[in-house]
Amino acid sequence: MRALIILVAGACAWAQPGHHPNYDDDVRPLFTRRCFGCHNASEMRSGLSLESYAGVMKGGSSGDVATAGRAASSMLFKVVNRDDGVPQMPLGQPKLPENEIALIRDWIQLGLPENAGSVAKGAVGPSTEYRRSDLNKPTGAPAMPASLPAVDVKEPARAHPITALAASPWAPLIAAAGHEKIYLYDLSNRARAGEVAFPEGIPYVLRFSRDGDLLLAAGGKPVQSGKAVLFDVRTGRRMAAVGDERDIVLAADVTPDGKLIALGGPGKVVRVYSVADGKPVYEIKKHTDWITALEFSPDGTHLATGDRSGGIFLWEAATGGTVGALAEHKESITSLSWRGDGQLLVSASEDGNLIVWNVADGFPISTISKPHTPKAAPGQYGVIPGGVLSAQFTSDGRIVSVGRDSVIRVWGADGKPRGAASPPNDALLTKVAAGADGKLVIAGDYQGKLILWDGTKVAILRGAAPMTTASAAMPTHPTLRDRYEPD
Amino acid sequence: MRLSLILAAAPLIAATIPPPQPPKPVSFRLDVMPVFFRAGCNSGGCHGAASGKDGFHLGLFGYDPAGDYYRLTKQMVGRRIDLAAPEQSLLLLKATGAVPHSGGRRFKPGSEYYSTLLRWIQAGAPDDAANVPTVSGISLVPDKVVFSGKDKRRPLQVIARYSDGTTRVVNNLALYLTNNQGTADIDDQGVVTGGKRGDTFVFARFAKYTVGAEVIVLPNGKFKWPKLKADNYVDELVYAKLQKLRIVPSGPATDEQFLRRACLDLIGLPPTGEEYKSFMADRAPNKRAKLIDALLERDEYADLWATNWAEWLKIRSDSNNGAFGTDRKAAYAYYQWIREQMKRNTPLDQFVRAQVAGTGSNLRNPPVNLYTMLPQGPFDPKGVAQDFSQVFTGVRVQCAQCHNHPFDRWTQEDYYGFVSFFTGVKRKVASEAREMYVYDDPNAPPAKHLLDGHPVPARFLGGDAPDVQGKDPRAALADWLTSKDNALFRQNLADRIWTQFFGRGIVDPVDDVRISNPPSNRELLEELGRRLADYGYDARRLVRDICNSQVYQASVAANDSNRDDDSQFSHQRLRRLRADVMLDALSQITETPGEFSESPRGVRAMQLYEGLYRSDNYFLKTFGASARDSVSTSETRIEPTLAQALHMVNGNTLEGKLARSQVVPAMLKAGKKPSEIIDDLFVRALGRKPSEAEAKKMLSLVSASPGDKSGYDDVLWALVNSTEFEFNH
Repeated sequence: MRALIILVAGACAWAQPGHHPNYDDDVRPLFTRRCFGCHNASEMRSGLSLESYAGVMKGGSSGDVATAGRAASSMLFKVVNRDDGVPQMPLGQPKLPENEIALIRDWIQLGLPENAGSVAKGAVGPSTEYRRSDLNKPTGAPAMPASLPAVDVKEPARAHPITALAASPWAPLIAAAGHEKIYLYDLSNRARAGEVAFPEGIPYVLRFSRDGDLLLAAGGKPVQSGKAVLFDVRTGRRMAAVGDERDIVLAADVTPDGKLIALGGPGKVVRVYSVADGKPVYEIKKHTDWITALEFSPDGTHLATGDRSGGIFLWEAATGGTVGALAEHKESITSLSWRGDGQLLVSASEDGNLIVWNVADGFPISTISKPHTPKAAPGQYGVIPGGVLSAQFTSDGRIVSVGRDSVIRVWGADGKPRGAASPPNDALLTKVAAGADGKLVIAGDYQGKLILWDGTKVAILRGAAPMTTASAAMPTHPTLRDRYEPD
Repeated sequence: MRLSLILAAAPLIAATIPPPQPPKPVSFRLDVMPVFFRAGCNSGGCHGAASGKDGFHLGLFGYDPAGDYYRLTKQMVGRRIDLAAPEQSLLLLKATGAVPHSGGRRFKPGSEYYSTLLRWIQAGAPDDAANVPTVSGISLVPDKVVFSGKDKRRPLQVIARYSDGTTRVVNNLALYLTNNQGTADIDDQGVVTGGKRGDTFVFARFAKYTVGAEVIVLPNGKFKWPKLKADNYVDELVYAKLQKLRIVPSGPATDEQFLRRACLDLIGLPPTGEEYKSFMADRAPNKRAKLIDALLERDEYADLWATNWAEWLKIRSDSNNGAFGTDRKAAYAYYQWIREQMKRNTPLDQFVRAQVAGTGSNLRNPPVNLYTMLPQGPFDPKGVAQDFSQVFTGVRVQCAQCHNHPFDRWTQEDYYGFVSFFTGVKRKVASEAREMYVYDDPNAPPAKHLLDGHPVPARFLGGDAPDVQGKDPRAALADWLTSKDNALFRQNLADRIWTQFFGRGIVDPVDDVRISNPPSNRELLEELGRRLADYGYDARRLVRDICNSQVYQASVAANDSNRDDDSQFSHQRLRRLRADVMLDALSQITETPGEFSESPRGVRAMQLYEGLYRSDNYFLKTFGASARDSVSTSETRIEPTLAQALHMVNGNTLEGKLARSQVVPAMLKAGKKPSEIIDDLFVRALGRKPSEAEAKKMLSLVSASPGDKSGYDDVLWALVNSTEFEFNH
């Protein structure tokens, strides 16, 4: 443990108090070792010389190589980070060590200071440091279900895959999709806290309202019908049902004030309804493919929507007025999640990437490239499905994600890994949610299992078959394969 | 009474039913995917399309089981397969038409197909173990059906063999097709129904295999095979088949007909007046064989075959291009080299070998132009492999670039393995810009499989993978290709030669060899191929066999039994003259030399060495001369068009030749009588003397001014505008 800390400190030697990385002292020596072979003042491969600060600022034959404060969109960072679709630098050499890549990233983020005397401008956009916000905090005790009525839906012979999963933002409570019903679990005693019927079909969306009082469920029957239903968390009572889709609802959310519900699916249209009377308020017809993800901002002013082709748009939540487009993903958007302060948005996609966006200017502040792509086995060729299937901001500003490698991963908003855990079998992890405390991570899998990870231990909340009694002991799996790296 | 009978029977029935077996688990690859195949889900017009259909993609005809499994179960969790409520799976709702589906209802709920899919989902939609057996072949039983009389039915069994040694009847899962619905139809259970008389094939497809069964439908009534004496093995094999089909061949062609046919087929020119005279005067019983031998020695024979090969090998050039090695100079060198080989009668295996494995300068070693002319541009190993295979084996492998060939045996593995013979071929412009060096880089990586990019080492079509580590794989390719054991090569060459003399291949078209396009007379094709190889690939010897057969020398006139036959060579076939033959014939008849751009005066169309001069020429273009854009034999078109008729009637080609021709003036000057002149014109144009009635009519045309050229021009114009001139018969 001590060794680890020293190693980490060593890698960050430049990060001493009063010293910020700059070109002359830190970056140029790195370039000297790694890049001058081609990008020197006389050779200037691709028109780029990294030998002088002016050369870096001038850029190469294909344009600027670094934009102050925006590492994720700077070519210099992308090529050494080996993002997709850019030259993989240094050409023909192994990837640079992580600490050198981090140095380049931080140097760009700090505004490309030339020397120790330069003033670090700091990153453009919001800080990746974040403290929990009390926005939307309920005044009383957070809602917990209290003796919900029994649901008369037979348990299926084979568990329903977790097609939807949500955690209350304030209470130790989660909701998981079942066949024509929703299971609720109390995380404080890790036991069942009741069920809610969903005769509409399969829930593809579960979402607690921002204050935790309401539970939104949406889904339906494939190529038949789709609806969104709002439940009172305390009583399980149906408060409202909106939508009349001809196919399932794949994405839905309710505004923090509980007045509007937005939903979308294979119909390619985002429809926004008034909860009070169930009437449509406006429609968004901009998307050209299935709507696969959407979420209102925590303050309720904005709506982010994503589609199956990778398109993301931002809208004014009240009117559907255009705010902007976030164009980077190449395949289906699987999750959109806002940070509590509404300044950052994380998007997950089947293209394999997680992107953290600065909502104010629409630029990525970090791109996490292929975090969930399984490694090719020896002799295995071809494109291995490596999509990110689900991602969410935690209440303390980190990001949790699951994907096709069946590993739970945690990230800082800066894109740096903060930990990972593999549940003890290889069933595909389909959904992830962050617990109210900001620490506990909940994941669901293809076999209907629910998995908890508190940062140190993986535990199975529910096995492949749903638990039948609330008192069933929660087994801790004996063969842990989790790793945890401290911040 | 009835009740008691039933009661009594019940225990009996119960006793005969074996105790219930535990049901076999449903396998995704062995049970589920065949349903998609049978129901058409993974066909090219539906989810098998490259980009899928309505958002759902399946590998075309099931070539990508792992991908299909992923897309069904995991791509959109919960949507296509509902593990908790299997009956509500979208897969089943769509397939049975319970919800809107562009493809409609593919099968009914409760059908065998439905229950297979349902049971698989009920079992948790499991993937197969890694060692799941694969289909290793299929067969149709019986593989030959003979119906005598109409409307008979015969069920066929489709039997699949698996890699673990087991077999299974898959009639319910196979797909069926027929090459001639009128003669034999086949239903979706594999039951064949005979129709009108004829000989055709029906096929079953399952997994990546296609297999055929021959169906012969014989006419009703009595049949008597005439006493026919076969002159050689060609006659024996064709007659054997005809006897089986109850078809009586046509009688022999007349000497006049034979002479014209043999000249057109062997040297690409009609007989001259002198040739006509000496052949007709010859009283020797073997005069036809003598004529064949004489024509085989003519330079025009070499011209004709050089042109054939130049078409198949795409010899085409441009005037100032050094980049791709397709300069005029290269085209000329290649053409001259080919012509030289044809003139010398170089064995065809050596001829092909020199091209396949050649290296060096394309001007000093012309056969390497195979690798400049086939690509006609940047070198693309895939394009070259496809052309190569079509030219030298008749197999079109290009389908297998993107998916396993649906109607043949070729897989993507075969395709990329074959491409790997050419991935090392490199070309470099020499210091002289028109010259290009062709060589092989033995360290070049092999081709990559389209599906997942794994490297596929060089492998012969339907054969082994040679050890080519560090060697030029084309040497091994040439060995395999020209080996005496390679039936693909020898049979295709033999069939190309056969086609020259019948206008139709035994496999038709001759360069579309596939299981679903079988030869019309397999024994004949095999024997011709075997003979060609045994003769040391001496093409002229095989030509001699063919031309000396009664089959070749038969009349085009049909009898009652062979009127409908177009594939069994029971009579000769009417064939429109190729564009170049027709133009050269007009030049010879009128004694006006050919004129082509950038070529010396007097060159015949059959001697033009490259494609552009040919397609520049209006006559040749209009009459369908190949522009040599592709290796396909169908590039040379002989279908009639309106433009052709108008050009013959009004166009400047014939008009100019008649105007310039000194044939009639010379005869008039020599004091020939009108009837002699008309006789001469008939022989020139049609290879025969006029009938009495014809002679009378023609004389009346010129009698007004018998010393005037124009009347005779009208006669000649009429003769070459007749179908008798335009066709070889």
